[in-house]
Amino acid sequence: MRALFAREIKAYFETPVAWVVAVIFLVVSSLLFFSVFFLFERAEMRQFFNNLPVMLALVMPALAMRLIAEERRRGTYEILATLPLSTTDIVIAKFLALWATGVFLLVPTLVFTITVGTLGRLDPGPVLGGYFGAVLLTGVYAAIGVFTSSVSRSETVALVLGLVLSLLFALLRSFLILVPAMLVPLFEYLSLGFHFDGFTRGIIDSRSIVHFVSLAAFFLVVSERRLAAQR
Amino acid sequence: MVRFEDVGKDYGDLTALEGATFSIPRGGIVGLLGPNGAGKTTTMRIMTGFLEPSRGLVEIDGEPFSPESVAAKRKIGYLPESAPSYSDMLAWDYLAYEARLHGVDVDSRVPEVIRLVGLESHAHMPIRELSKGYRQRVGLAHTLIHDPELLVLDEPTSGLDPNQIVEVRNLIRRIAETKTVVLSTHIMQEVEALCDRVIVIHRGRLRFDGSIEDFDAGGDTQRIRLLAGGISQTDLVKDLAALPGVRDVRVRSTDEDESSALVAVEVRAGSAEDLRPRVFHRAGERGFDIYELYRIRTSMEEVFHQLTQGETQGDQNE
Repeated sequence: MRALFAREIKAYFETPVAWVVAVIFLVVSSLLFFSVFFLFERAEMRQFFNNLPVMLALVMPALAMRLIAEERRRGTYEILATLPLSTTDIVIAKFLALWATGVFLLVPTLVFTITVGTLGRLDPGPVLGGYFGAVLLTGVYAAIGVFTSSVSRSETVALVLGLVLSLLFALLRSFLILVPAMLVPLFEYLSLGFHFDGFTRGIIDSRSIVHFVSLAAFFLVVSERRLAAQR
Repeated sequence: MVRFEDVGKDYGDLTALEGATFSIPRGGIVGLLGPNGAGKTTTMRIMTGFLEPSRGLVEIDGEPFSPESVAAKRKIGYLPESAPSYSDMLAWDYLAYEARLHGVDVDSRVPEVIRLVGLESHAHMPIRELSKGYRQRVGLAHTLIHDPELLVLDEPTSGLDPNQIVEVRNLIRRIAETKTVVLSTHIMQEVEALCDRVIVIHRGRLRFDGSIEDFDAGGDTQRIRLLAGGISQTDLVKDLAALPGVRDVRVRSTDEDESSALVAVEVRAGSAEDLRPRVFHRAGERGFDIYELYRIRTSMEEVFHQLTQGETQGDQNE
């Protein structure tokens, strides 16, 4: 499984894929962050973290789409599936590689923290909480990405489905006004943005951790089932 | 080594394989034959754990086998049709990756396998830049990297030029000296050149399972031709059709004079039994004269055609 994980990481970084996505992610987040940061002149990272659920929901499906769909289209999945690996091994190795690549995207954004910290007094709680939440959030999007890439042989289908699902979970609480009052708590609980907000305030809520972990686990189990059913 | 017992596979409403029962002992080369869409690829995919059978039992070395049998998969090397691989990787890196996945020593095994398949001069090139023949060698190297006992090769020479075909066949022959090889093909010369045993699948069912000699001798049917005199055509046909072991008797045209009263027939047996002595004795009993009596040598293509007559179902090879 370690060899598969290493190959996936190499596939991201030996081709321009991860680098291009990382540059786009950094440029867009910088523009969004600094345009507002100098307006408010407050030493905080809130603005960056506020954009993060949507930013990652746009970027992660682009990284994820090739994971399984490309292997199935090129026929290499037939080789992968007949190697001494279980379907679970394949799903986990690909998920971890995507998650690690997603977390790598967050590393250059530490420049924002350093910049803000230099310009003013930065409260470390919300920053640490925010990054902790961001790592978990990336994991959920990675699991969604693995699932959407397992659905079809077409990378385009994987991308579109990945964007729809990721954005749906990111923006669920924006639709609260449209749902019946009794369903509001459920939608709020399912919304990634809602839980991520807590982290960015420096609150590490175990319910939020459980939510992120269970959502990721759900998509990984569904991916495994989906691939096993294709046999 | 491999045992299939009443194995079936459905894709939705379509049955791709039904009632497949055979066993493949250790050693030698088994040819899996059949027209396109006959179920060869499905059989190989089940044998290698890519597909799970809908029915029946598959065993590798006496142990039940399924796609989750991780340990048993170590005994198998599989080359799917058209030898897919990660085209952006160097041949060496690809084999090193597979060696790591199998937990074998990269530094010793990768050069060994590269030497075995004759890939030394191209090992450090990206796979996408290799010719089809060399890509096939990379595929064969992939099947050998973990020194498996069983090699399953789906149309290993398809799309290669004649020189590459000869090279790959030599390679397979060399590999089969120490391993069991199952290969699919519909090229009869390949069967003749490589296989010790033949399994024919048609429309998802086994049509023949036997030695290459039996297959060459006409599969499960023997044909003999007879030119006889002193008997009417109707009586001859009736007489021969009543013989035990005869499946049918067909009248043939002769190149004798029009005035000749000789009758030509072709007799088909229902088994591999040679009917010539029986026909000879019948001639003695009935008192007709034999002018010619000989067995038809059926080419492998004809045997294959006879075994796989009838329309094929949809192509299962994805």
